[in-house]
Amino acid sequence: MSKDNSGVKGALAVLGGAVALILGMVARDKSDMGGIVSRDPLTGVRVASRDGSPTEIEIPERQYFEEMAELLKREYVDPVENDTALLSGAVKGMIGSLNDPDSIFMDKEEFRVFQNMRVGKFEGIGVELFYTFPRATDNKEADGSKNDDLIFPKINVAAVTPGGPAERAGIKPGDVIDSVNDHWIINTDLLIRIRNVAKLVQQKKRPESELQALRVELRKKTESMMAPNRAHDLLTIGTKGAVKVAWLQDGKTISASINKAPSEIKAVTSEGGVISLHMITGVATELQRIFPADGVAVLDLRNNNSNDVSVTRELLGLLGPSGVYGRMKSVRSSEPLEVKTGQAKAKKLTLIVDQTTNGSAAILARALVAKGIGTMQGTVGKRLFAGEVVRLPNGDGFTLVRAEYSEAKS
Amino acid sequence: MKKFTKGFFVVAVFGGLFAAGFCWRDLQQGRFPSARTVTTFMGIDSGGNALSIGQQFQQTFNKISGEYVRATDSKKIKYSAISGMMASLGDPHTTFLEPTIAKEFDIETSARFFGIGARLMPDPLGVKIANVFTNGPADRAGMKASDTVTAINGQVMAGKTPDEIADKIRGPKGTVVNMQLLRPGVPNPINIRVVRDQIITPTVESKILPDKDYGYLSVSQFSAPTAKQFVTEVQKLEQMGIKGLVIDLRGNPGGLLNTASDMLALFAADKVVVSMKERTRTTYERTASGQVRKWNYPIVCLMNEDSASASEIFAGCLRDYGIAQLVGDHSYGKASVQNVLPLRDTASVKITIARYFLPTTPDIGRKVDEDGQYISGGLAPDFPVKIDPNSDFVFGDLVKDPQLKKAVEVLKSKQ
Repeated sequence: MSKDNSGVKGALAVLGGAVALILGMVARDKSDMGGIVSRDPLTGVRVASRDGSPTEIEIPERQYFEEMAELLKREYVDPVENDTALLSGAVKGMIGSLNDPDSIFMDKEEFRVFQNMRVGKFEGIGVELFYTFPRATDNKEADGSKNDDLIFPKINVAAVTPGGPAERAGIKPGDVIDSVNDHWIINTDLLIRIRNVAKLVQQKKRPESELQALRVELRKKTESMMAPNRAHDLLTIGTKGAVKVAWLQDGKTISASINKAPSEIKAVTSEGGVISLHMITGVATELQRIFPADGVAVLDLRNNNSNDVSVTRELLGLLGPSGVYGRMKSVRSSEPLEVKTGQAKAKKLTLIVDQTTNGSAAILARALVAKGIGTMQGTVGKRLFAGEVVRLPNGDGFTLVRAEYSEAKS
Repeated sequence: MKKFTKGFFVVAVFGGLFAAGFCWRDLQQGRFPSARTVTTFMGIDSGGNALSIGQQFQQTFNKISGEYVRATDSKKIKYSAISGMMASLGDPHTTFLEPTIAKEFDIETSARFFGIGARLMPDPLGVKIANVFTNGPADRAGMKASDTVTAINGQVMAGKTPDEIADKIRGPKGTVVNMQLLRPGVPNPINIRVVRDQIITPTVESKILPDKDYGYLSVSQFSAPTAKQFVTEVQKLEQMGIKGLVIDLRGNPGGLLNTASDMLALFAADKVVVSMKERTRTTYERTASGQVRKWNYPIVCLMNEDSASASEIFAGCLRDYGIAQLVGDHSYGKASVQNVLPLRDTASVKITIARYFLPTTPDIGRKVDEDGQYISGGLAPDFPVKIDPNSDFVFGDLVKDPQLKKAVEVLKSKQ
């Protein structure tokens, strides 16, 4: 009898043990899957709307990120151990989704070069570049609907280092880079032109031959292509070797093989009574040292692309009185561009600007004119943005446009 | 006292078993569960002094969606983050499918959409027709291989991928799709109207080449009936007394590994087809078994960059077994297996979970540069022949297909 009893007990113990083991596995499944992975794509945790069709539910972004990271670590064929690389990838995706030429993700190497550029030190062929995206209104289908193609920006030259490799080869601010090492830099412009001409051909306003010529051009160019960010790297990173560049200048294509070398742009250079300013850290201190005692000066603000507005503030404090110079606006906020301690005696300035005057330099020019301290010769570029620079844990980084300048009082 | 120890013992054993169950999946993989899994289960948010990676993500997300100069779409930013995270692994086959895209994927695979019966190849001006299925809608409307589709329903297709264009071509049965074509040798574009219809994709087609000595067999994909169709077509050709066989795998995107394996079993018994390497398991080999046929003539496989997956396994094994030689361009280089997981918000993810290797050919996995341009990978042909995309070529036409021409030369040299 007691023997039987112990048999039953043993069986119960084994059963209980098995149940505990299975409960543990179920608990783990719940713990893992309770989040994002749908256990049954049709009936599982999908929320049904009133008409019975599945609707999308919102999963908070942090949970999404964390659970997807865990999922990759569990399922991906190779070990995934580097959390910071996953974070960087996510940031690259987020910044890219803004499609903003002034909000740019940079890998470690690109970020290092960018940081050096902010103190005037250049590698590569000695150029500062910026991207331009096609206007939304241009990138439309014949029927007016939005085109869903990937958008590739054009690479424009913002500035060249004086005496640097690019300048010696004849590259000028405002030029557009067309190809690097014989690879055409993919941009959406040619596709937009083809779509526009195709529309006109349909309306019999243009001959078919014109469209055919564009087709031949596209087919030829696509035989060898390069993404814009890769071309950007080849032109700006490294101090050794040569790079073959073709660029558009005044409607002509020029090409040359250019040797990479270190070069620099000084914050302040004075020549023939004109003071050229490059909007980098320390420009205000430098300017103060050489500024004419009578307070009358001609400032050249061309070839500036930085959107670090702290430099603008410093310069306003050196050149103008304290007070409000306009506002920095975003969709959510509007803050005064204010100088707390300015100059008692106002200066008299002539500002040389053109379409290559952008960002902090353009804001400086517009703010000085709004305050009546300066007069502008020329028109500044369209990008009056202030940006922030953020460094990520693994050394990658990004810039984010936060506000746009406006002369408005409020 | 004794009772207490016994009770304690029982609890400890059960607790231990519960923990073992909880860690089962990790223990199988030879590791312990991550701290996060345990804290999540216990309802604790892993804190600590330094910010967790999740907190750092949240901070950056808040900055980008909340401090950007213009209005932002937080859902778009969230999905872009997940896409970017998956892209950071550098594997083009590990991707995130947003809810809208995931739905399209459903529609595509459920085959409720109908096409025009043509195989497409990439072309900068739109898409090139690789071939048209005999008697399909495209064929009936007069479309021909090597036509380039430049516009669909008035919309210019330049710069779009074959997948995007295929989406525009497909639609409900009986509806019309208007296309503009460029045809080599014809100066003006041709406008054509095709009625979408159900396509019965013939996966194997055969014909005898003009000189009557050689058989040509085109395999467009590896689906369930392909192995049977393959045998039928081979028998048909053999009855005509062929002295050699060209198996055309160009543009074949792959399909079922089982089918490829069954077809390989016709050539060699119990040989390794592929060895699979999964993250969680040790490498295991897959062999082909079945009735071996007699092949009394030389065989050549044609392939190009659009030959992928199962077609690479088929051609690669035939070469590794010493049965066939390869002519054409290098193949795509798809040597991995993906799993699609549906997510709770109707998005889904596709993750590479295993790699496979051919019997003797080294890793054929495709490598691309930062621009997505091909660097290496795929099967290297024994006799490389490239096709000039601007030339007037027609797949399967001995005169207008330089790769087929070369294949026949190779067969002749073996007589």
